[in-house]
Amino acid sequence: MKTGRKFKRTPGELKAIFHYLEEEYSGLGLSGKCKSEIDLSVEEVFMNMVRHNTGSSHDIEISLVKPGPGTVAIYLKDHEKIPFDLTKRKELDVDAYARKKQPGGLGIHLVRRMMDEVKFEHHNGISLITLVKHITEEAEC
Amino acid sequence: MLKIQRITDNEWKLSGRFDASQTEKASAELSQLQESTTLDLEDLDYISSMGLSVLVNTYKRLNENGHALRLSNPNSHVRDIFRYTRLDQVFQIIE
Repeated sequence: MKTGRKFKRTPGELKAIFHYLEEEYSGLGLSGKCKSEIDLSVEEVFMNMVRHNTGSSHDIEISLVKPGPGTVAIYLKDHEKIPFDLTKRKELDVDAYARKKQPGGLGIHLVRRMMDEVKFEHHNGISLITLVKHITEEAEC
Repeated sequence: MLKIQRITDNEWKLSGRFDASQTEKASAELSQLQESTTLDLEDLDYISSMGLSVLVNTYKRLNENGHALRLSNPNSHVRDIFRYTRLDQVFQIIE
């Protein structure tokens, strides 16, 4: 796997993360709406790691690759003793959310809505989340 | 970077990117709203779930006091975020 860039676990790193992603988009020839959708999905997963994996002081590593002509894959790697598999999180009842207006769960819901695949692996104390976006005319990449 | 401007007492404008790093500043600024207000989103390029939470909390606070929070002119990406979360059913969105 391509070596990514490491970011400190704080919301203040988001500016640097978006800058890094923009550099990668240029290299991969991505444009349009799908850049915003990848930005948003990376922010949601990154912030999920920052807020829920408070026992770690390690940096979070992010990389973006184009494994094939029609696909972009984004990897977020974090040191995590107790794995939190966000793919197993219950589907958010968005209607109930909108009705009650209770915070929580929106971020993962948006990631699932915007990405074509979300995968979770955990090996030797490292959690790896893979986001896959298919490059199609509809995705406006 | 998110920019929040007060245009009139009842009209404010958000521009730039409303991500998790901006929530503290945005919450502080929007806590000044005490009456029904329209937020112009024409130049808002991006909003994440943390940004949505700030808007929802502001909506709830105003609503509990009998006031409204309306949104106007979101771009298509921002509009999609409200649609995907059904918050377009909560906020009055003026095109």
